[in-house]
Amino acid sequence: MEITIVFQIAAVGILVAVLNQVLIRAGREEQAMMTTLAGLVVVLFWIIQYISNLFETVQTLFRL
Amino acid sequence: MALKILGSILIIASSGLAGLYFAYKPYYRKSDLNSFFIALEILENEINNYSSLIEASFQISQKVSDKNISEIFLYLCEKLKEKNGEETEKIWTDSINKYKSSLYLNQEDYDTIAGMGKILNSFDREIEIKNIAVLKRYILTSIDEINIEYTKNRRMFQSIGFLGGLIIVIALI
Repeated sequence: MEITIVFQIAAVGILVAVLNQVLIRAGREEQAMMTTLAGLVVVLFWIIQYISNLFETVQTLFRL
Repeated sequence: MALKILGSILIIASSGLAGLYFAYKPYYRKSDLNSFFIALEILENEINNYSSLIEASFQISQKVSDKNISEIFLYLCEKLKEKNGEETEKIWTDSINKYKSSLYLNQEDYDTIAGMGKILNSFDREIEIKNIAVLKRYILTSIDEINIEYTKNRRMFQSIGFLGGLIIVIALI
C-alpha cells in the first residue's frame, strides 16, 4: 500500500472539514452535508480496493 | 511532474477565479442598479421639466458615469432621433438586449427594466412618474437584498473556489 493515499485522505478530510465550517457559517447546512457526503464517497472510492484486499487476505488466512 | 504542477496551478487558479466571480457578482450588480437608479432620477427630473424623451435620454447618457448604462440611453436617443416609425418600447428592449452581456443584472432585473419601455414616451406624465417611482422602489429593495447577500456570501464563495480547486487537485494526483 502506498503511503501517499493516507496523506491524500488526510488532506481531503481537512479541506472538507474547512468547507463544511465555511458553508455552515454561511447558513447553508444542506450544501455542507452534501460536501461531507461527497468527500466520504471520494475517499471510499479510493479505499474500496484496499478493503477488498483485506477481505481476501482474511479469507486466505482463515481458509474460509 | 512539471506537467502535474502546472495542471494543479491551473485548476486552483481557475476555480479560485470562479469563486471570486461569484463572490463579487452581487457587488457589480449593485453598481449597475445604482446607475439605473440615477438614470431614473434624471429621467423623472426631465419629465417634470417637460423635456422630450430624446432630450431626457441624451441628458442621462451624459450624466450617468457607468459607461454601459450611458450607452443604453445614448442608443435610445440616437434611435429616437432617426424617427423611422419604430415603437419606443421596441427600441428600449433592443437597447437593453444590445448591452445585456456587459451588465451584471439578473433575469428579474432585465424583465423589470425592459418593462420600463411601456411607460416611456407616454402622454400621461403622472403615470410615467408613478411607474418610475415603482421601478425606483424595486431597485432600492434589490440593493438592500444585495447588501445582505453580498456580506453573507462573499467569503463563502471565495473559500469554496479555492478549497474546491485544492480538493480537485488532491483527488486527481
